[in-house]
Amino acid sequence: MKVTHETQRLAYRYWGAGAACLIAGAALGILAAIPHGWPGVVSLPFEKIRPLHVTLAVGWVFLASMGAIFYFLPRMCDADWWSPGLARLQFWLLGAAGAAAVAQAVAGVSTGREYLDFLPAIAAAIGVAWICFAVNFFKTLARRPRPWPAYVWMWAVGIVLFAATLAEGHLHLLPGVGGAFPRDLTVQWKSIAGLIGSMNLLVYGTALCVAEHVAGDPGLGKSRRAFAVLWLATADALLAFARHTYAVNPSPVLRVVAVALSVAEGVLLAWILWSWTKPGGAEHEVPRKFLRGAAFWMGVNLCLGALLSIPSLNAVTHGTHVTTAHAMGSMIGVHTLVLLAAGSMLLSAGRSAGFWVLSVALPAFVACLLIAGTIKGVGMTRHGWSHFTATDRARPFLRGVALAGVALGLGFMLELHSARRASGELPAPAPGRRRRRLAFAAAAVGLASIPWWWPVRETLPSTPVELGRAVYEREACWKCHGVDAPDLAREIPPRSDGWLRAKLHDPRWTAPDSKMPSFRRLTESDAAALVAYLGSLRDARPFAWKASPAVTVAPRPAAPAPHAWCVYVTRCSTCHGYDGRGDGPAARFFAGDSMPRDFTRGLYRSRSTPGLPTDEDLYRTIVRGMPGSGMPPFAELSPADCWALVDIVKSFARRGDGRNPFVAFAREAPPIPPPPAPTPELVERGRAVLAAMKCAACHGEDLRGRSRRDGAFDWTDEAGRPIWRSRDLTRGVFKNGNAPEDLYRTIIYGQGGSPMPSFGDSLPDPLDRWALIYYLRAHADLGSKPRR
Amino acid sequence: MERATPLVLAALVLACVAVSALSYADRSADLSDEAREGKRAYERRNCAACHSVYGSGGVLGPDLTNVWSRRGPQHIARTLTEGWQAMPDPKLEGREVESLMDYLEYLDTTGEFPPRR
Repeated sequence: MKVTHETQRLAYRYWGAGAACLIAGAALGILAAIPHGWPGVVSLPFEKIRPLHVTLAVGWVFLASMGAIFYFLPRMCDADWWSPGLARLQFWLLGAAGAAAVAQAVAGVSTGREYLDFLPAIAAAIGVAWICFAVNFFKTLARRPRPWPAYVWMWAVGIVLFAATLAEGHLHLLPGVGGAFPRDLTVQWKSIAGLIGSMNLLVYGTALCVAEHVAGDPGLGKSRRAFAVLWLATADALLAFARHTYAVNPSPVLRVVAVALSVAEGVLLAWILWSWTKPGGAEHEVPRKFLRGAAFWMGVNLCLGALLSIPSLNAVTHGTHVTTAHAMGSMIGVHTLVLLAAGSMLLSAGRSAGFWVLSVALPAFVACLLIAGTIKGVGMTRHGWSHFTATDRARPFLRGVALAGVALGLGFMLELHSARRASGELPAPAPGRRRRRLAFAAAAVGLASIPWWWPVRETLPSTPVELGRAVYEREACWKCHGVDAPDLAREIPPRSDGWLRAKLHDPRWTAPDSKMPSFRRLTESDAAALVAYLGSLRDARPFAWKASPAVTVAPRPAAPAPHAWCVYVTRCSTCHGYDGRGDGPAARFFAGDSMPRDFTRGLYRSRSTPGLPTDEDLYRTIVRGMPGSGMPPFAELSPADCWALVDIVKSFARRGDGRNPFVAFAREAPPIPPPPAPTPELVERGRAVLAAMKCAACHGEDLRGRSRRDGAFDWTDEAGRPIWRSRDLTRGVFKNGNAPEDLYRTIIYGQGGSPMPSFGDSLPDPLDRWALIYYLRAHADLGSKPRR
Repeated sequence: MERATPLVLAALVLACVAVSALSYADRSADLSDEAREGKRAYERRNCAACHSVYGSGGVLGPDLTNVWSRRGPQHIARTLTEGWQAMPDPKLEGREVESLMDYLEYLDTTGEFPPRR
C-alpha cells in the first residue's frame, strides 16, 4: 500500500524487525522441540532456549502490531504521528532492550518467570519505550475527532493494558508479594493473563483494521458487532486470569464468567472476520486469505479452550502438551496469521506460497501436540503412568511436533520472501459453502458433547497399592512378569513382604542364578509401594486351601556333598548370616515381618518331637520352605545338598558359645496316629475344643490373627525381636504346612521359639486333636479379603 | 455505540479491577528464610523452564508442587545431585541443593496440586 506520511516508513522497520523475531523464534522453537522428541541425543540447554523462544515470539507479536499501528493510524487520522522523533527514539530503545534480553537469555541469567523474563533494568527500558509509544499514539489520535472506529479503541485499551501488566509483572520485587506464597504465583499468573489480553487487543484491532481495508468498506469498523467485540475483549483481557489460573484461582464463578466471555468474544470476532473477508476483488487477496485462516483458527482454538475449561477434562490435560497446543494454536493460528495479513498488505504482496505450506504445517503441528498431550494426560490419570513413562509413550508425536515446526518455519520464510503481485483473474466462489458450514456445525456439536460420554478418571494413585501398581508399570516389571502381575502371583507361592523387599534389593540372595536385575535404586517409598501391591495380589488370590506339597525325604547319601558350605553361603547366609545368627545382609528387610531364624539358639519352629526336630523335619523345611514366612522353598536343590545343609544348620547349634553346649537332636519322631474320617459331629466337637483351648485369645475371635500394631500383645521371639502378628488360621498358610498331619504336629508340639505353645498335654485325647484340625479346615475363609 | 464506549470501558475496567483485587486477598503465608533462599535458587536456575508449580511453568518435567510427599526427599536429593531419567545433572553449587529442598518441602505444605476430587 502507498505510504502517505513520512513516519509510516517506520512501520516497515517495525514489521521487518518483528519478522526477524518470527524466524529466529521459529528456529528456537524447533531447537526447543528437539529435547522433547529425542531426549539425550543432543545436549541442549533447554532452560536457555525456552526463554529465548518465548521472548522472540512475544517480540514478533508486539513489533508487528506496532508496525501495523504505525502504518494505519496516520491513514485513519489523515495526519502524521505527533512526534516522529519520539517514534524513532522508541524504536532504538526497544531494539537495545531486545538485544539485551537476548544476551541475558543466552548468558543463562534468569528471573525464573515464564514470560517477560527480563532483568528489571531491561523491563524498565521497555516500559519507557512503551510510554513514549502511548503518548505518541494518544496525541496523534487526538488530532482526529471522534467517533473512532472500534479497532482504534482496541489498540488504545491494549496499549494501556500492557503498561499496567508490565508494572504488575514486577510487583514481585516488593517483599509483600515476592516473599508471600502463593500470592507471588497468583500475581505472576495475573500478569501472564494481562500480557495475553493486551496482545489479543492489539492483534484484534489490527485484524479488524486490515479486514476493513480488504472489504473496502470504511463503515465496518464502526459497526455494532465490532464494538461488541471491543467490550467483550476488554472484559476478557481483564478477567483472563480467572480461566488461566489453576489451583490459585479464588472463585469458580469467576472462572465460568471468564470462559463465557472468551467464548462470546471469539465467536463474534471469528464471525466478523469471516463475513468481512468474503471473496471479492483480486486486490488484497493475500491478506484476505490470511484473515480467513485466522478466523478459522480462532474457531478451533475457541473450541479447544472451552473444552480445556471443563474441570474433568482439565484434570486430564493440565500440564500436558494439550495446553501447549492451545497456546501455540492461538499464537500461531490467530496472532501470526493476522500479523502476516497486515504485513502482506503493507508489502502489497501478490502471491503467497507460504500460505499453503502453513495451511498444512499448522494443523499437523497442533494435531501432534494434541495427540501427544492426550496420550500423556490420559496415561497419567487413568493408568497411573509416571511423567517419564507418559512422555515416553507420546514420543512419536513429539517428534512429529518438531518436524511440523520445521515446516512452519519454512512456511514463514516463504511468506516473507514472496513479493510478487497477483495476476488479474478473479478467484471462483467457493463451492459447497453451505455443506461446509453444516459440517462445521456438526463437528462443533460433536466436540461439545464430549464431556457427556468421555469417561475420565480424575484421581491420581494415592494408596500404597495404587502407587505400587504405578511403580510396577513404570519399572516395566511386566516385561518379564506379565501385564498385571497375576502370573507373578500365580507362579510363585506366596512370599512374605520382607522377602519381597529383600528380593527387590538383590534378587540373587536366595537364587544365585536368577536373571532378575536388581532394583535397589528404587526409593524406599517406591519399594514399599511395590511390595504393598504385590502383597495385595498375593492376599487377594481366590482362596483355596492349596495343599502343602508333600515332601519325600530322600535317603541320606553315604558321603557328604563336597561343596555344601558354598551352597549355604550363596543361598542361606544372606538371610541367616554367615554364622547362622539370623543377621545376614537381607535380614534388615524383614524388620516388620518375621525375622530369619537364629540357628545358634537351638530353637526351631517346625518339629515333630516335643524337643528338637529330627533331621527329616529340617529337610522338609528346607525343601518346602515355611509358607507365611520369608523362608522360600528350595526344591531345586539336590537331595545331597539338602542333607548337607541339614548338617550345617545343626552344626550352628553345636558351636560352643556357652548357650547351647549340648544340643541333642532327636533321632526319630513319635508316629502320628492315623486320622479318623471327618464327620459333622467331629467338626462340631472341634468347635468346642477351640473354645476350651481359648485359641481366640491369641488368634482373634474370627481366627484371623491379631497384630502387635493394634496393641494386642508385645511378644518377642527367642532373640528379643518383636513378633508382629499371630497366624491367620483361615487361609491355609501355615509354617509347617496345612495337611492334617502337619497341623497335628503344630498343635501338639507347638512352634519352638514362638509364643505358640504345645497343646499335647491339654489335649490328651487324639480324637479331640483331630476334631480341632477338622474344624479349622472346615471353616476356612473362602474368598473374603485377608486382614493385613 | 461509539459514544457509549468510554463509559462502558470505564465501567468494565472498574468492575474487573475490583474483582481481580480479590485475588490479592488470599491466604498467603510468608516464606521462611530457607524457603525464600530456595525460591531464589529455583528462579535463578530457571527450573520453571521444564517444571511447573501449581500448573504454572513448563511441561517437560512433572509438576513439583507436591513432589516432596509424593516422591520423598531421598528421591529429590538424588535427582538434584545426579539427575534422573530425562533430567540431566543440574550441577548445583554450594547450598543450592539444600535450599531447593527446603523450598520444595515448603511448597508441599501450601496445598495440593493437582487437586483430588
